[in-house]
Amino acid sequence: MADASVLPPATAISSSVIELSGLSKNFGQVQALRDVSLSVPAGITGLLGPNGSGKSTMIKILLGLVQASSGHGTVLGRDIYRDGKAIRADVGFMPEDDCYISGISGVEMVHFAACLNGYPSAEALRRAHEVLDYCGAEEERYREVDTYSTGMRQKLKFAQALVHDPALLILDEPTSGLDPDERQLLLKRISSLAEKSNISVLISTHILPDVQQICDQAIVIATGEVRRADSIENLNRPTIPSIEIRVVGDVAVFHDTVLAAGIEVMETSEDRFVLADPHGSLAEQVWPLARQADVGIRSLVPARTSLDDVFLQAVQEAQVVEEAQVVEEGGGNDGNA
Amino acid sequence: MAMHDLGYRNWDEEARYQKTSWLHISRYGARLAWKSLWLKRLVLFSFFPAVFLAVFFFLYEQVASWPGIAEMLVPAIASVEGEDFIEVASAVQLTREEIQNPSEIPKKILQTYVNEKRPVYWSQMVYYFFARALGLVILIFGLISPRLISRDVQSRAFLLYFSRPITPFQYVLGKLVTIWLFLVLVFTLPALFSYLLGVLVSPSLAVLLSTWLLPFRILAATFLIALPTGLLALCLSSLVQEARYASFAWFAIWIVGYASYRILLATQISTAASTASLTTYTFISIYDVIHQNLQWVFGLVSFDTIKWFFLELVAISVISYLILMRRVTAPIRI
Repeated sequence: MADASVLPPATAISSSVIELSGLSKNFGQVQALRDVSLSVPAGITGLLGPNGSGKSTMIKILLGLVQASSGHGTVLGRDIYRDGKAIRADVGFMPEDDCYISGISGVEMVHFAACLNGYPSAEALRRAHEVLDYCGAEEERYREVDTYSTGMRQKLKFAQALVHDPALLILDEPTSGLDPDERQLLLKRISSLAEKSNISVLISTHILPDVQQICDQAIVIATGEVRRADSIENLNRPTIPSIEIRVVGDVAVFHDTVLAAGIEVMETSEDRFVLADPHGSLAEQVWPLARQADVGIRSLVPARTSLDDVFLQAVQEAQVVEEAQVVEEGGGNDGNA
Repeated sequence: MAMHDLGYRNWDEEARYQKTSWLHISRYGARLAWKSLWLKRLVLFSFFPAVFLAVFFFLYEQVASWPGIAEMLVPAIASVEGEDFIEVASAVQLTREEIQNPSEIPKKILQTYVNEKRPVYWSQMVYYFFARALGLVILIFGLISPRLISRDVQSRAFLLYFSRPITPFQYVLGKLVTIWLFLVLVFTLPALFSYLLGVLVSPSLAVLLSTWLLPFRILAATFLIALPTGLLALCLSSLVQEARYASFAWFAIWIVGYASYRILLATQISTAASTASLTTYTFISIYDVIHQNLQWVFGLVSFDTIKWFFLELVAISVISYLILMRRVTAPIRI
């Protein structure tokens, strides 16, 4: 295992914090990750996927805790096979599970985490208090962690991940169990870490609004494969350019008028229409059509695909592919038989 | 939020102690264990055998200088030891003054005997000390070790350890050192301290020449006990999430082995079987196996006599270690 001290500074090596190429992981017959290739740039990245999609396995591989079955990868420019220890020295990890060391206080736990990274005890204690201040843990830091509420445990896990000033933070469900105020505070902290302190963040979460709010890019994993990996802006952009309009008046008449004009209605609900706009000139056509249908236009904006839609679409695609594979394998087996 | 919130600040401190960071696992482990009132009582109680050891060293070294004692002891020892003693006594070289003052002769013989037999008696006494303290060590390990790994599995703290630059081996080492700290506290330090006391109360520092091997024997005995018992204790702790099951298994192994051995021994004796076959049953009792090995460490028996018992301890250590490493890495492999 490589010693972190003899390796070059992590950030100096590559502009991408994570680079994976053809990474696969099998647990016996189960294929947890299939040919995963991606490049995660600096900034905040959301890692999305349904339960059992391979997110946790991927995180463990990134931390060098689990060896991939095949493929290559680097984290902060360090090889995931050889430099696991050095990677973990530069990465802060906040696990999803409620994990703590029973019988010690909050500040002791954060101090302990810093000491495990090899920092001198006295300096580690000072730093533990500093990070707990930043995380908003007040006098409760002196209480035993066994007595903490879920929110306080989340803060503590965040503090221990941050205590050694990592170059990359991997947060697994960081906002679960937090009340709305605390959730917003934590999201602000994460944003500010990326913006002001040059810490890249990988957030694995099911809470899509969190990703929408703070992430620069998102990766959607389903059935062990990367289904989407792009900037949030690109993910929100519909595959076919379209506009979203809301109208006041007889909605049915407007609908018929639009169809009669040869415009594709992609989506409609109550007073809302999403109209395909492949040439980018639809906005000008809509006004005369509205006059013709005797309806008023309340709003007209470029249509955006929500992250929920992107996620659901990706998961459905993955399910279809998997089902097709199962059918194919079944057919193959029958044929063999 | 803090009154003077400075936001997040980067930290440029150097991680200088990465290679020894596992020591903090031991440090926090020992601190948590030390919270137990029972453990404090046991540690305190475990110093009593060392007091007896120190008293023995004191009496042994001073006995020849007390008036009237030599005249009483020399015939007694001669009747017990026979030829051995006569051989030692006949080698005594008397000075002119001593021949002129015959009352000093028993004292001189006793002193020669004390000097001659010092390495044997000291070793024997330290062996007895270790043999008596072993029971206490089993109790102390039974209080500390069951929680060491099972607690981490139960509270999923292993994720906190292994997301740091810590290897499973370092984790195990940190946990082992936690229990070894207590072993050293109740075993090694009192024994070494008693030895030092023995040297200081002896007539001259020349005793160091005849007993210099003893501190090394004490360290070897500590290691001999520490490795198999420590690995076995951690192995049991790693197999369960509830510490009480590990405690139960720990004490069951010692008590059942000890009792079974004695029952079989009694049966053999009552059926007048040959004594040679009795030793085969010793394998059942780890307690007695350790005793046999301690006798070898303190030079009381030859290695040939105990080689199979030594191999048993090696086997216990290796098997426990392999199971332990597999169990420790299991949660992160899944």
